[in-house]
Amino acid sequence: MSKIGAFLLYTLMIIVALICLGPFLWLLSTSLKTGENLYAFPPQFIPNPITFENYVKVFDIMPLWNYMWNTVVMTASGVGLNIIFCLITAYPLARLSFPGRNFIFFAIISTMILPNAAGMIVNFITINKLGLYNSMMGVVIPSAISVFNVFLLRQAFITIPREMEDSARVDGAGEFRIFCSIMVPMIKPTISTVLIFDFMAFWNSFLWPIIVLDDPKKYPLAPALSYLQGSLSFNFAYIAVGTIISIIPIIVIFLILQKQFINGMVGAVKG
Amino acid sequence: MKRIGRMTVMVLAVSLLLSILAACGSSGTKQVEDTPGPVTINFWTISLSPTFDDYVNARIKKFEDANPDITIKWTDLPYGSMENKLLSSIAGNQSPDVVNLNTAMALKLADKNALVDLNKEATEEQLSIYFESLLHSARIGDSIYAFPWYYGLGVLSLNKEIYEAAGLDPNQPPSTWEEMKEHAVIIKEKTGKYGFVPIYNPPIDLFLRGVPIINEDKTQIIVNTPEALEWAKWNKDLYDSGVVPKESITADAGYATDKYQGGQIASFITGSQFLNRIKNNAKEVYDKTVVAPIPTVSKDGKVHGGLMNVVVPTMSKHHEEAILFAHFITNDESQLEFAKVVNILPSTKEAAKDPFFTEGDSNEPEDVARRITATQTDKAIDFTLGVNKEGEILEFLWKYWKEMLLGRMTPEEMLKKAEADMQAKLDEILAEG
Amino acid sequence: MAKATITNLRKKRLIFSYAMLTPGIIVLLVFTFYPIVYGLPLAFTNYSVIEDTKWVGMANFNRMYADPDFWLALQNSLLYVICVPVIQILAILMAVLVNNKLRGVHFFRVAYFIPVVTSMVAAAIAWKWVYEEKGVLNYILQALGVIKEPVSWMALPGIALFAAMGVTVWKGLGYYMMIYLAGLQSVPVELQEAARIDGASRWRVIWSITIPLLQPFILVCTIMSVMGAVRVFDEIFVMFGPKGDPAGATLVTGVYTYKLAFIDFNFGYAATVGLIVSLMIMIFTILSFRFNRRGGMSYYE
Repeated sequence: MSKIGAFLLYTLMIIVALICLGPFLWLLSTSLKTGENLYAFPPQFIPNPITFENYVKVFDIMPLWNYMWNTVVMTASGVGLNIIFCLITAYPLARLSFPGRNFIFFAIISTMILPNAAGMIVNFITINKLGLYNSMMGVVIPSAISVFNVFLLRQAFITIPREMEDSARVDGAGEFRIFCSIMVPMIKPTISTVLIFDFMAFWNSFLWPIIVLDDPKKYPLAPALSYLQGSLSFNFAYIAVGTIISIIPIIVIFLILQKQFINGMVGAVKG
Repeated sequence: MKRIGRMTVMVLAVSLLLSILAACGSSGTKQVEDTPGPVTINFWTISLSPTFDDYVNARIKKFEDANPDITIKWTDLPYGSMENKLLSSIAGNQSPDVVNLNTAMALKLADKNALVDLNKEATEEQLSIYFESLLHSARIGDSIYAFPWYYGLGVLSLNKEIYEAAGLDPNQPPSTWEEMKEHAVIIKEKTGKYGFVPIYNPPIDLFLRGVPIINEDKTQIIVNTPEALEWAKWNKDLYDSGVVPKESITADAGYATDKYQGGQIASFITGSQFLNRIKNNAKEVYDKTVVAPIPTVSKDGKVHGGLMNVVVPTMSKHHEEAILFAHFITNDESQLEFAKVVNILPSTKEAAKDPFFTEGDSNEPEDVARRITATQTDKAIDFTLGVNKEGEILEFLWKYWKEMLLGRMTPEEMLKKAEADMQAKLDEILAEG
Repeated sequence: MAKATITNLRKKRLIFSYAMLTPGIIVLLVFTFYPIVYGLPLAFTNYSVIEDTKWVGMANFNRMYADPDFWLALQNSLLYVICVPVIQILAILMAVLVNNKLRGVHFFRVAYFIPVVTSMVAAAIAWKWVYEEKGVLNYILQALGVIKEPVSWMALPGIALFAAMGVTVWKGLGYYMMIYLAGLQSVPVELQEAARIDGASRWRVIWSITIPLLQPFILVCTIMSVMGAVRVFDEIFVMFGPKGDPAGATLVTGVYTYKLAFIDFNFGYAATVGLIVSLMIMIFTILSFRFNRRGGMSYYE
């Protein structure tokens, strides 16, 4: 590629990146501002002076580590459950033939379109009857399986060549072993795609944890951060701090998995 | 893909059938049981934590010490999640016992029979401590559904610097809305900044200007009056003239606060309890602030106070204990202490008389605001229609008011249409019983 | 003997299949199917969670037919589909842009994906600041001389809905870009290089080779983003509130349904509106697959 071409490409990429990152960078800069500069006009793009005081204070006024731990527990168990449940559901639908297979698959898919106006309230009643009120299990179990993920994973399983399975059978491997040690490793890219989506969903979940959990000490990050927007107290820099803190882990996960993620997307759509 | 379509239709049909069966088999059961012995009272508030943790926990401790059989479990909910959590909990038979709600939300639950009628279940003595006008905010017919809690009254905050830059004297604040406008015109001309951001609340604004909104019998909507027309026209002219930002049509208190904190508007009207936001967020602007009474509106001096209430849901299993605590957290002592932590006004008569509200001569904006608003407590109201589903009736006024500002209808048309549609809705509600 | 083994094997696989399916299906039945089954008849009731529920027959449907807010919301939701082609075209261009091997290109890919992973609440806070009368957008446009007077992006009824679409586009671009990038990387490089050697310009290659190869991806993405557009909720709710301000200019069906249920406590009527919107989406989905029988999704039949 010519140097001019590369230069043009870089310029374009930087402009697009600024548009995409702009609002995020603004939050970052707000979180680093001192009180007086918060509402300065024209706005300061690069804070002067830069201060980490807001971060210290937010950790001071609320048990943020505690909320983070709750979020980690919730996200880890939620993502773990979801991936296991979706994998074991998608696999037979993709690779095994049994009576009712198509019916089950299409019935599952159709729920993506059907209306669900009172879903949250009905699910709360169920959680209550199962005795899961005020427990982390109650928060994650309704999302233990998600239709879209089953769909993605099924597409990925379908693409695995038959020979892989057959040669394992000849070697006398059992069904479950074929699933665990041959099939699942084959679709790692798709699993990482699913993992990222799951991680985002659980990490940012706001309303459902509030409803299921009776004890605010058990709240995950997203609802806890909304305490920063209290009805009688409100500090914009703190809100910015909270937002930045909550975004970082998702970005880290994405950075780690991004190559796999793109490959997973190919599998998902092409099939 | 034909199959997905066919299958979806089938699943839909089967689900419908099943659900009809399910619906026939089930019916809501509501029961109230009063069990003797130790009880736990679930107390829900709206976004008071973590700022007021110390205050609330201290009050709870005091109550528990006096009532060893009752344990209070306090849950503070983030703003915006109360409706969802409350509805789900009532549906799931996990109803809280004492809940902090604003008046509109309390009334909505009240007309669904979800709240305890305190006129029946609370004692005369318990009810007697509150200002009657505030106690009656959550009244429908003869029933009273909430103990009033804290509220704030509006004060006018002026940014000294902008006022002086425009050649105006901040110590002579505007005392009428006409003056507000005159000042705003001058400020716009001299500094390019806005004088103020109107925050519209058509039902209350009109009511304070002598528009009855509803008749005594609660059967007739009266919105289309000369006073109403005058106010509507005045606002329309103001909006069209560009003296106030076009964004004011969607502006709420938060928007105006942000602009004021940013030094972008010269003055704004805010609840006295929110001044501490400016103090925390923009100390510079706070230090430049002069606080004055709001421009006069109503002839009889009535002022609007956005009220927070405490209610007891019918689904609570311990009405008696719940009422006891609801009364405790809103009694003179509790409110007075709360007022000392944050700039709110008490809804009880004795607490309001406390010298704390009137004494002192500091020029600190928060203190000035407290002294100003303390003289108005007996004139404070939180306007309500006092009929079922009032939100759905008032919605027309809100909607048409905005459409008028946007030029989709004239002030005359707006009032006529609002009155007609509100009346139709009221008739429909009265017909339902 | 051999026959017996095969039957045995088949039986084993059958048991295995059902055993694998059971846990997932149970969770789905309890938390996905049951609420749907429970929710459908609500459209024919006055369900309010709190009060006793009564059957009201077709009353909700009649009310809907005469409800100007419903029609307004539906109109706005359909109008919202305008953002679909914008997202798709921009996402393809972005995918083409980052489908190179330049140093640091991974950084840009991640940067473009960050809006997708940002929570809507955070994004809304930032975007309100962009759209303000003295906000960044007006600042930039005025500096470029595009506009003379600042525009109140969120307060003008003709513009507010498009302002919301701007956020949807911004937040969705990265997601679709990734899909298209995935698509581009599965296009054989030789094909493009052959065309380049034949003297075709870069744009020509994109237009006549890359785009046609992306077709199956475009179909899937379009359907997904149409569904997302008709069902849009978060952006509007967080930025314009449950009434779709100003004066209903941004009222869409998702927000309207929420308002009916959780603000008016009218779950019955909310279910009716939800049902009709779902039926429309269903019909759209079936039709678009019909028209694209030969498209990428034919594989899934």
